Amino acid sequence: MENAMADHKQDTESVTNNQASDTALEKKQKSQEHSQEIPATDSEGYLENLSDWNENVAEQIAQSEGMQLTEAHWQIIHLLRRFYEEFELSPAMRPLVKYIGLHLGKEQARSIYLMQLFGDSPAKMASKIAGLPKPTNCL
Amino acid sequence: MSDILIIFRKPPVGTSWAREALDLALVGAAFGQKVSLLFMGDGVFQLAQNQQPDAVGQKGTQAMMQALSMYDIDDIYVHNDSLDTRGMAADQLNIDCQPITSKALPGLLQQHKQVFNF
Amino acid sequence: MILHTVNKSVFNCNTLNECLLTTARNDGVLLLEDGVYGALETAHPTEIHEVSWYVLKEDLLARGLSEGQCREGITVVDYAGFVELTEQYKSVCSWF
Repeated sequence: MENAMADHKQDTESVTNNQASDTALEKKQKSQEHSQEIPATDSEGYLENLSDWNENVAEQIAQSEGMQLTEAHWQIIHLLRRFYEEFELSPAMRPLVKYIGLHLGKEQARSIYLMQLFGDSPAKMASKIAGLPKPTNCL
Repeated sequence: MSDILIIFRKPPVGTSWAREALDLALVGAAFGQKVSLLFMGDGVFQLAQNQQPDAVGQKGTQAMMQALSMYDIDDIYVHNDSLDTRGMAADQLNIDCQPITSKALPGLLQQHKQVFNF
Repeated sequence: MILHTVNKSVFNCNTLNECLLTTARNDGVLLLEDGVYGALETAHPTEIHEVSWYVLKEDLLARGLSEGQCREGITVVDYAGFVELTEQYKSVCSWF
């Protein structure tokens, strides 16, 4: 993820250098990209269309929740999306922890670890950032 | 004594009974209840492999059923006579189930504090 | 000690018979709504078991059925009696 972002930045810079006349346009596009609004969500901030999600949107949602995503967050977010693809549902805490244990490792498969990353309701918060529906089976 | 037994008795397509029963199972388990499932009657059709509900524009429960073990729901029973009369085999189902005889059914219900029927 | 309620006609549906597969001694079976047709003399559930049978009076009356048409050994209860039954049994399981 970090690499992809870095590459993107480099591309933008090189284009800017080579074509000075396009600098303004480039800057405009870049700023649009970053100030992009979060796609339609429900009243609780969950995406209405799952297909609207991408990593950029995830960053935006996280930001609106006052969070900065790190590699540790991304690991969980991607795994959560894998869970959804496999089972067609957003997991509650317990199954999420179990799934992490199966695919990432014991160190991460602890609710305290998830709470450190995503706050008091990690299953809900992580689902929101991952662009998935609210876990119906956790209140 | 386990907490909850959920009985699945309706065929999988056309109504939302299967999904609602499954939702209840997952909610119960997420709240730390010990949940068991019993498939009987036409409910055993929910266990058929290769269901393609999207062919009639519906979302099935097959993927969700694979998540049961993630929720620690491992006591899953299927009534063997119901399978027999419907020409289904216990080793060709979409999830691992324990066959149960008619004779053992009353005992199974008595072992649970609460029984829900769908 | 489970009270099972059945609301489908035994002439049309397998619901009552499925219910009776799961009943234990000391359980009760209460027939209500279209389930009351299962109380008729000509309705022969596959197995009678050793359950206590009840049928809801209001649902009999609504369908033009009288207590006299019910099989022997079935207790007719009204709504108040239904409530008492739910207190008497440990849990209620409805078959529909």
